[in-house]
Amino acid sequence: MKIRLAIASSRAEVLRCQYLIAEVYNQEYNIFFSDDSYDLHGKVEPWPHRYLMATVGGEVAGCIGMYLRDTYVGRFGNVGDDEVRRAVVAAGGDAERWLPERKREPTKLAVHSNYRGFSLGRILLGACHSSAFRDTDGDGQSFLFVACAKQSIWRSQWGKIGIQSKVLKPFPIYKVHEDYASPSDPMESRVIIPDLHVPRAWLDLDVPADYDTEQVRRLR
Amino acid sequence: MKQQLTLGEFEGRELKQALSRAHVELPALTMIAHWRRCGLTADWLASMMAYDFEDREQATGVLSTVVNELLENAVKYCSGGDNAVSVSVAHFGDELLIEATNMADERRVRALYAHFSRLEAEGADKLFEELAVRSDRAADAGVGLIILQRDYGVAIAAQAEDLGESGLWKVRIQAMLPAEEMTHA
Repeated sequence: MKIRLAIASSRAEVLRCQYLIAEVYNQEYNIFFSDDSYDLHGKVEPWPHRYLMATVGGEVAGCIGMYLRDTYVGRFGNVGDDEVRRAVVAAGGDAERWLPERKREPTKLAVHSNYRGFSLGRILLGACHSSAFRDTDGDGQSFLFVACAKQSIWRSQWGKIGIQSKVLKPFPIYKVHEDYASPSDPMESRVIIPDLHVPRAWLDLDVPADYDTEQVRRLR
Repeated sequence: MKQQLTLGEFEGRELKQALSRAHVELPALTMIAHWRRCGLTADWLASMMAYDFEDREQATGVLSTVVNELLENAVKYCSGGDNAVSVSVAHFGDELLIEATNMADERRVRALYAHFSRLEAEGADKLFEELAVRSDRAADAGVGLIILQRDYGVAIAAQAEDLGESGLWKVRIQAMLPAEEMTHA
């Protein structure tokens, strides 16, 4: 399947991404979204700040969001910058280069039901780690990643596309995750150091660009 | 065979008898995606209907609370983002009828029915006390309806109608609010 990967830039594109995420996450996990009044115990989540979308013939087939600031891991996972700094050092990362103040968080991956079975989820997850999506501030500096997910997702999603990570700490239990995580499959906050943990094929992926899903689904 | 579940005294009064009335219908997804729209819709409906009362500020506050609870409840129990959620307010002089409508699958209808059955059997005070000791009570859809009964003298009724092949039910929740609540200090 031919897709185009691009950052949602117009307000209409952002809304299309938000509505797709809202529909999928409400159906799967019964949660709601807001950009001005979130409450994890009330099952209301904050919106990401940036979106990477996969379009097919102009239609948003899938998308993934990214927090550019006020990360979920920091706000709700109670992970401080010192903990991120220590984890970077423990993982063997360059502490001068990968500063905890400069971090981003991939979140809210959604694929439209009409486009499942083409590995779009895997492709979007990998592509959101590209420099082209992550580092668009134009100051030449890079960002590291933090993210939270249940252990099985770390293995089955990030692991399968070759992206490694370092555990920061267990993620607290909130009502909003009652249909997602479980005691046998708890959530964890982790840090991903691009030059250590992300395969070069994902870091260098061009965005915006056109791809064949067969071409990119096996990147790692 | 199509089923219908009714709990409480469901009001069948003719809307055209109302002194004033207003009705808003929105796709559920617009509120799922931007939760504050529930509050904004409630505030707008309340502000508009408050012109019927001398103490508009009091009326706006009370009515906004009631409408918001019913609307949030309708969105939380709605199945499918494309399905519409509606809320209406009708002022009959001595009472205001607030009604919210949504589509729900059977699982959500059963959950709602169980909540209402418990509310009927145990009463609002007892159920509220039970929920108040739970740390997640604010997230429990339905607890807001208990508060309306306890603190605003609202009578709640619910009706769910099986729509057949679609697998969906049409759910209507009514709140009958005494007009005197709009003037209490």
